[in-house]
Amino acid sequence: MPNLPNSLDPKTLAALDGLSLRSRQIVEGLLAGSHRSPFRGVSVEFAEHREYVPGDDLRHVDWKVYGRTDKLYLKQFVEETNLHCCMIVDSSASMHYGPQDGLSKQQYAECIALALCWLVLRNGDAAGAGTGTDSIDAWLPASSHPDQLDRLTVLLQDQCGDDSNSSPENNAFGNLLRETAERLPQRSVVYILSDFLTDLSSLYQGIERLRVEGHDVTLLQVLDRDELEFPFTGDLQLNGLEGERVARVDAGVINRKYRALVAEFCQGLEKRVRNLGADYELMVSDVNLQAALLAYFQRMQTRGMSG
Amino acid sequence: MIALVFDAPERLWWSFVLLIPLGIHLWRRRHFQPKSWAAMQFVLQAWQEESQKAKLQNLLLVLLRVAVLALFLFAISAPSTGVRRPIVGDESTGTHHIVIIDSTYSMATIDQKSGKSALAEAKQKAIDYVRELPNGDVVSVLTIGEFEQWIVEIPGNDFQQVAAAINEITVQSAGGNLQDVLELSAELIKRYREQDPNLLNAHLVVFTDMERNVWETIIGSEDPTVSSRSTLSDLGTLNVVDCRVEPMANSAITGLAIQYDQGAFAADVTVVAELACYYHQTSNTVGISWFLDDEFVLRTETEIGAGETASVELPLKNLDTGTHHIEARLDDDSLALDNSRWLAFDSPARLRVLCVDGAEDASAAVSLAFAPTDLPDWPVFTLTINEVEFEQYHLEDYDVIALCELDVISAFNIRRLRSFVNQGGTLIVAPGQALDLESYNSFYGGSQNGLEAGLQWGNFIANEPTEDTESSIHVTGHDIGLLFRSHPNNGISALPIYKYVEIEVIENHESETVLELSNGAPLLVCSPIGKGHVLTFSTSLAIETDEQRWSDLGAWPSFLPLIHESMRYILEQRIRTANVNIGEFPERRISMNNGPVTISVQGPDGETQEYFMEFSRDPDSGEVYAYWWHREFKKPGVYYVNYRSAGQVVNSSLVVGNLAVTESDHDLLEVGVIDEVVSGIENSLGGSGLASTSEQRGLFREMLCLTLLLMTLETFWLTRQHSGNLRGGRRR
Repeated sequence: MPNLPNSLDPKTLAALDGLSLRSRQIVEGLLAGSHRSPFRGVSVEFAEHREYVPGDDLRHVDWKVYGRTDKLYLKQFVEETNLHCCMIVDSSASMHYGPQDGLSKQQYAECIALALCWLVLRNGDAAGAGTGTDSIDAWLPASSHPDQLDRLTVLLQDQCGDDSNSSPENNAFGNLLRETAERLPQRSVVYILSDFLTDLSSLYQGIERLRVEGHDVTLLQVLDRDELEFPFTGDLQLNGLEGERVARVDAGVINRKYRALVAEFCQGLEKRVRNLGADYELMVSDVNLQAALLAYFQRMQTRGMSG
Repeated sequence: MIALVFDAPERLWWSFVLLIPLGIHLWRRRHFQPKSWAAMQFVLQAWQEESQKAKLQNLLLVLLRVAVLALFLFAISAPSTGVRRPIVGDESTGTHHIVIIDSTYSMATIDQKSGKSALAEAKQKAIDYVRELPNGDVVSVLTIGEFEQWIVEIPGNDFQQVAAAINEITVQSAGGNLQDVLELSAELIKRYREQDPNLLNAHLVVFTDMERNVWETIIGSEDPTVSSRSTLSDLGTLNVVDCRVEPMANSAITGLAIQYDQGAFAADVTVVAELACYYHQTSNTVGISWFLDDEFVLRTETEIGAGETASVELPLKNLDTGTHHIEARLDDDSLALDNSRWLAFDSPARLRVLCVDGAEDASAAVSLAFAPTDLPDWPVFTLTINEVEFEQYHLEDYDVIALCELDVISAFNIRRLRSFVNQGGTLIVAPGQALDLESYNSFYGGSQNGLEAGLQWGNFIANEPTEDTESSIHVTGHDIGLLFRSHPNNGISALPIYKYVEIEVIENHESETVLELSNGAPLLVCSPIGKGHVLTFSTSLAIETDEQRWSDLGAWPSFLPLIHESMRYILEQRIRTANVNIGEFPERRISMNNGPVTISVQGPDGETQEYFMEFSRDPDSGEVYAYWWHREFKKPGVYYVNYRSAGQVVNSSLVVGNLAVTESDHDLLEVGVIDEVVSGIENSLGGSGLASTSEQRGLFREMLCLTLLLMTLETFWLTRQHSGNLRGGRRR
């Protein structure tokens, strides 16, 4: 893997003002790494040619045209032009956890979502997004319009800060997914970005609904490093971000048990999600974003999945 | 019954500090750092499962901290088991006090300021100690010395009587060691503890000048688990009272020896005194006075520096035949006991020699060598007999027996000769033409009936006798050859040897070759056996002229001085039996073949002690004999031994006793060295703080070690508890 520019470090990105700028930074970094686009059409119905751009799969180059014109053209298929990608970003209060000098889980998820949208749109496909906690608070249907990226940026920035409805009781992420399924007009690639600290049974129902309707679902679980390792000492008074009861604990006493519970939770989630036919990826919010995406793409290709 | 008591109980008042960790635990104001958190479900579940465990851990931690403090307090309070330190002037402590007073001869040293001896100082301190003991406690008194003895054995509480008994203690003319006394004390303590259940505690107080030899068995070993130290810890408490004095000067006669410069049968001898000067303050001149047979002879002076040694010789001429004793006496100094030394010696040697011929005139040369003159006062009596007559003679009546050219030595004679040599007799053996190797090897062999001389007789080696036959006799480093080595042209090296018997000197035995042939074969071997000696020649001593001759040794001019030098050597060795150190008992075996004998011993103080003799029969030779040994051999000086038969003195001899010079150097141990054994030394009995003991120190160390262990455990515990946090944790 090529050395990554420091500018893609979450702390550096946090200093950048504006989501658009952050996602641009990420995508440019990815392109500078000369990796091909991870999104490929799977249809066999030929539609048209388009000019080759760096990163495209060379297997789709039309060599006959190249022999005649000395220019590289790719054969495009009907479905490929109609790829729809939808980013569902959790905007619950728990997603706001994060270090003072870095990105919160929410910000991290936004960056990832926007970067993926950028890649989709750049490929000529359609991208859309929705945010919410237990229902969709903001929705932008998928489109390949040139202004779509700006609209997505505005949506994510404006809507994700609102967590007024978030509570342990009403945090039923599954509802949001069911609404998403109802709103999607055709088979889509659905990315769900959340910490998934929610009612899991509802979540699984939502995923199942999406899968039944033929959507390709990927869960990107965004967690803070602290949430994985609980690196604290001494006495702590922990106030739940989603209104849970206050807990006074001796951090040294529980850290071992806590880590075990979190690990067990993540493994259980992944196993269940995969059983439902969806994909799962854990992303830690202090990891370099470009590196996290590249690693994800590589694993995706290894598994033979397409976006 | 074991009681736990404390040497510093007042420190237990600090026990209130145990409340500190308890207070911290109970009233700790916990400061909870507020923090917003997302994954509350895991925190709450983990806390629910771990909080009980955490409470238990906190409780254990408090108990651990309390235990650490408690053990530390316990340790500094100087605990001991089953032993209670006496508190002078208090009510009865149920203590058996063993007062041990060092009465070894270094305690006779006089202090230059007070003029009192160390023993007087020790006795005074011991009496003061006893008089201040609480009523109800009991005391036993014991002395350190070669003849350690109970002054008061049965524990008593009549302290006036005990003090009077202490006052009677006198210094011994010998050294001693503390280990023996401690073992004796241990036996007594155990015995009386069984008899009197109230005697829970034992307390030993040693009043000593801390002379190194006395303490050697206690401090000498590097291993602290040796029995001596174990004994100490088993007994109870042990204190040492320093009774050292400041001496002015001390010189000692460390040795007295006799030199037969002109041979064993000359009337002139030289007495050599070895002096050592341990320290001076005024003059380096030491005066020495000589007394021969209790008559003053001479006084000389010699220069000797501090830490140096010197020799002083006294030539004595024209001595009467018989046993003499000489005393060398130094001028007075701080320690009088090592200023005199005695020596008993024979001059000229008065010997009875029995020559046994195995062939005609076989021992003629030997007889002639012993008695070369017809002078009426010549000290040697010789008798020559043949092989057959030999069995009829009592060997105890002779000093030297020469067996020349005997073919075989019968089993009966083997037993008799072995007994004769072991009792101090001198045996001369020379081979002959018909020598039976098997018989001789049986005589010399290692079996229980033989001499166990470490010699093996081998083959006959014969050279053709020619006019120019020459041998090169080598004189070894043995002391018998001293005269020949100092006169290179003595002629013995040119002695022709035509025939000899190979003798193998077996290693690891005390036999030593005196003369050897050019090929290394021994010609004369000296074997010390028991208290006597065997001189073995490998060639015949007969003076012969025929073709069968073995050698010219008997007729050679060197033969007479060789015999005389051998006797000189044996005589110088033999005086050991008449010169004994205090602490060794002189003993003798007396033949009763001529009728029953009684003996009486007159000591240096003029007292005479009669001995009842017990008869025994030697199972080997069948001879009747009796043993005696002198039990009251405790003072330096001359002891006269008179043998009486039918009321008449039939024989007399003398034994001298000398001080074994071990403590004259005044090598006193430093307090720090003693402190390794006992934890402190009290210079005086004033005050209440006697030193604690090694046993207490051991318990103290154990407590401290346990405390440290618990502290380590706590540290490990805390470290382990927070190990997850120390690894790459980050705070918000």
